Parts: sequence; C-alpha cells; structure tokens
Amino acid sequence: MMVPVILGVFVVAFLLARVIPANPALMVVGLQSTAAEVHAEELALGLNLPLWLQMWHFLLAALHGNFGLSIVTGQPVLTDLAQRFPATVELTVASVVIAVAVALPLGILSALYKDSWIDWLAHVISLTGVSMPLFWLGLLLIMVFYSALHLVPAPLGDLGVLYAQPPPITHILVLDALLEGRWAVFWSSLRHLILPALALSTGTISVLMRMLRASMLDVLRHDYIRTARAKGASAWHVYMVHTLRNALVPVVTIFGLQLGYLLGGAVLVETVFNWPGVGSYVTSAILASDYAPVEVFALLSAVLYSVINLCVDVVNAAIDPRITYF
Amino acid sequence: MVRLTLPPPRRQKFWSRYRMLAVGLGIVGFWVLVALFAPLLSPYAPNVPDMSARLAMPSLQHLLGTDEYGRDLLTRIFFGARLSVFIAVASTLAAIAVGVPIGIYAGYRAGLAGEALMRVMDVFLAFPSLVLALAIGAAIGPGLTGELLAITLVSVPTFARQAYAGTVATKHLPFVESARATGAGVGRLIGRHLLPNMFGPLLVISTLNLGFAVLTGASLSFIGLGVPLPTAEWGSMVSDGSQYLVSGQWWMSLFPGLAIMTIVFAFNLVGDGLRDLADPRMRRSRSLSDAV
Repeated sequence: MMVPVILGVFVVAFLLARVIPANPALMVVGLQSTAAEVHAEELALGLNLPLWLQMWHFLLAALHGNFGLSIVTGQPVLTDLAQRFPATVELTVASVVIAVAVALPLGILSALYKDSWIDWLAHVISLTGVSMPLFWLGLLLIMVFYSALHLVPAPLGDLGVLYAQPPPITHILVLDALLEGRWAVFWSSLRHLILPALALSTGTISVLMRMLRASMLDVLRHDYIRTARAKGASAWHVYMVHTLRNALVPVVTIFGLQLGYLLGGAVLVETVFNWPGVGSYVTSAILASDYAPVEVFALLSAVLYSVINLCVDVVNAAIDPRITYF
Repeated sequence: MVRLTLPPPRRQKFWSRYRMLAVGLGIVGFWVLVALFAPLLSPYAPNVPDMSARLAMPSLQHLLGTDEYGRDLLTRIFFGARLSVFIAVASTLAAIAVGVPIGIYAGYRAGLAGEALMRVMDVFLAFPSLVLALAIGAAIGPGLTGELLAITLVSVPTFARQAYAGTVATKHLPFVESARATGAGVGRLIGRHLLPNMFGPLLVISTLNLGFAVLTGASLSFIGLGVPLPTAEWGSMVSDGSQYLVSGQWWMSLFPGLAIMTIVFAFNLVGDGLRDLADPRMRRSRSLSDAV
C-alpha cells in the first residue's frame, strides 16, 4: 500500500513544482539573458518535453538522489537538507521527550481521577495547546524567558556565538558536546534548545494526553481490570501494567501521526528561533522564491511520514501481541 | 431505610453538559459580529499610517497600542477578524463542496474511478498537513488565492474520507435498500437518505476544520505567504511584531496571537461539544487529533 502512495507523493510534488508561475529556465540563466539563451536552457532542463516524460526524468533523478540545486545556496538541495537535518532531529526529539514527560503522567492522572480538578486542568491545557499558533507561543516564550527574565540566551540558533561547534560524532549538537565532555558547549546548547523544544511540544502534549486519557478510560472499564484488583494486585500494578500497556496502542498510533505534525511545526518554530534546521531553510527558500527546497522538503517529509507510520504498526504489534499483519 | 436521591433539575444538567459548547458558540459569535461590524467598532482606519503615534503603548487612545506605522492595533485586529473568518469559512465550504461528492461517489459506486479518487486522497494525506499547505502556498505564491487553495486542498481528503465512510456504512442498510426498491433515483437516495445520516459527523469535522483553517492560514501568513501588506492579517501582524519584541514592544505580537488563539479555541470547543451532542459515547475523546 505504501509504494503507490509514495509514487503518488512524487507526482504531487512534481506537479506542484510545475504550478509555479516563474519559468525555471529564466531563474537559472538570469533575468538579463536573451530569449535564445532562455530557450537553450529550457532545452537543457528538458522543459520542452511532454509532461509525463519530464515526470519520469524527475523520478529517475530523485531515485539517484538528485533533486536539483537551491538557487539561494547554489548547492544541491539534498546536501543542504542533509547538513541541516540533525538540528531538526535534535529539536524534534527534545520536544517529544518533553511531550511524553508531561503528557504521560497528566493523561494517566486525568483518566484515574476523571471529572476531578486535575482532569479539568488537563482538558484546558490540551485545548489551549492545540489552539495556540506555534509561532506565537514561541514568541511568547522568548518574551517571558529571554526579554523579561533573562533566563535563556537570545533566540539566535542552537549555540552561543562564543562557542565553537564540537567535532561532529552524531551531528546532534547537545549529544556531541556531552560525548566529548565539553560542558560549556553542552550547557549553552541545552539552554538554546529548551524554548524551541517547549514551543514545539505543546501540540503533541495535547494530543497524547487526550488520547491516553480516552484510551485508559476505555481499558479501565474492562472486566479483567476488576478481576486483577479482586485478586489482590496492587493499584500501581493494575494501572501501570494491566491498564497502561493496553491503553498504549492507540496512543502510539496517534503519536506516529503527530510526528508529521512536528515536521510542519518545526518550520514555524525554527523560523521564530532562527534554529539552523531544515524548517528555517525552507522558510528562507520560500521567501526567496526558491522552490526546489520546498518541493524536496514536502516530498521527503511525506516519505518519512509514511515510513514512520509503518514503524508505528510494527511497534503496536510488539505492544499488543493480538495485532498481527500476516 | 431507603434513601431516595432526586436527579438534578433538567435544565441544570443540560447546562453542565453543554457548557463548553455554549462558551465556544459565544466566542465564535463574538468574532463573527466583530468581523461583520469592524468598520463601525473603531474610529481608526486599519491601513492609514500615523507616524506621530508610532509604537505607542496600550493606552486609552489606543486600547491595544499601535504598530510601527502608528496604526491602531485593535482596529487592525477587528479587520483581521474579517479575513480570518472569511478564509476559515470559504476554505471549509470549498473543501466540503469538493470532498463530500468525491467521498459519496467513491463510496456509492465502488468502481475503479472511485477507488482511484480515494487513493489520490490517500496521497494528499501522506503529506503532513502544514507541510503540504506550505508547499502549495509557495507554489502559487503569496496572496489570498494561494492561501485559500492551500487550506482547501489540505482539508479535502478529511471530508472525502468521512463522506466515503458514511456512504459505505449506510448504503446497504435496509432503509436505503427499500428506498431504492421503491424506485428512488440516485439523487434522491443521496439527498434524502445518505446525506442526512452523515450530517452529524460532517458538521463536527467542519467545525474543527474551521479552527484548523484559521491556524493554517495564520501560519502561512506568518511565513510570508498571506495576503500582501498593508492588509491586516493576524498571522502577519504577529510576524511584524516579532521584530519589535526584544526592544520591548510586546503588544504588537501578543494581541493578534491572542485573537488567533481565542477563535481557534472556540471552534475546537464547538467541535467537541457538537461531537458530544452527536455521539455521547465519544465524550471528550478522540477529537483534537483531527484538528491539528
């Protein structure tokens, strides 16, 4: 099922790039060039070929990892994206860690104490979380924690200007600094990371918390929970082992869907915090009318998203032995 | 001794059940009124610069302060409400107009064409929604058309899937079969039997989609893919204000963002409330995931 969808994704990305009003040949040779030069470039880029043939060439080139050049940086888009990808991974993983750390306890508590004040609090938090524009939340955090309280450094990237990037091991800054024992760099990068990660985590917190609550409530109604309690199992054991594990299946599914949302959110959050990741790269490409990076980003996020959702199915089968796919 | 407890009075129960819905409807109503009567609500014009009042703090003259051109922020938020409500309603209606027929056709005819249409919807769903909206918006270029088209195209698959599921679930039920047996045509079957039965879920999705549309529109406008300046649009107002955040002019970003948040919050409340109304078993469960 995944292969035709991904082929479709290629087609959509290709067609989107052809919608742009600007002539790609003109963008390559420059506005000062003659009509003959533009025509020659059109031939070189294959723009005179029938659309389906162009699409085929695009697919072949993409399968060889050739996605074209970025007009702004002059580099292959894939090289640019690869350079910036670790920073986005760092941000996304940090936001997921925060989201799980907040959503797991709150979701469990609001299910166990349904209709209590904590349930209401969790409900309000989750509703606010999905209603807040991410970019605005990022700005609010900067306003409070940087401008007013001076608790974090200026929102200008992932490391203070005084520090040199540590030699890459994993390419993930916080991790590299930690592995090499550069504590000053580690501390600086962590302080740069905390606000954007917090901003990006809100949507995930909301969704995970509500899903976990609903799913826990669903499981808690089952007879085997009452049986386990009646047989003398402790409340902790029943809630954490019998209930939570069974409640996790839909939560993991929604979590997979949420990772796609994080890729979109990263564009906004990275732009606000000048984070040197894929998202801010895409924004600057959009502002410069440089479409290739946007196209490739959309394409690769769809592919990544599909792969993640495939992984989710595998994880679910591991959590719940009743789920089989074969 | 038998102790009898009386159930609470009916009206009170109704209120506690639909409190969220009522609050949500109230906020939505507020913004709709603001959008309708924006020119009457403020003595200022939204786009006329007044350099003498540049970057003024919130005060009695300018309740929410002014921006870098001295334009009254509250007035611009009022006029921004017009754009946000329009974008939300127009893109959602367009998505319904495209998505629901696709879903019903694919579900009812169950042929190769319908199957192909639903696979196309799957392809669109394979993109993270904001990423796809950005890609479409960037392809078409900044402006209202691009923004509307981006939000609509991203929303269509949701409606198509819902209509498809609704059609497949009802088309073999006895009342539909008997209507067909008594000679009802396709139009009548769909209009009188299939559509009314999926009205509830579609209404819920539509409401949640309104919130999604406001949020996506604001995000596009924040990135620079919105309606060009000097038109007041909430997302670009937040973006403009962000340049002045560190120098202390906090109001320029704060208030437009607050406007976005309240209206999206309200649409989510109404969507959740309607879902409870339509299906009490689903009370406060898997609703938010659709909205993001």
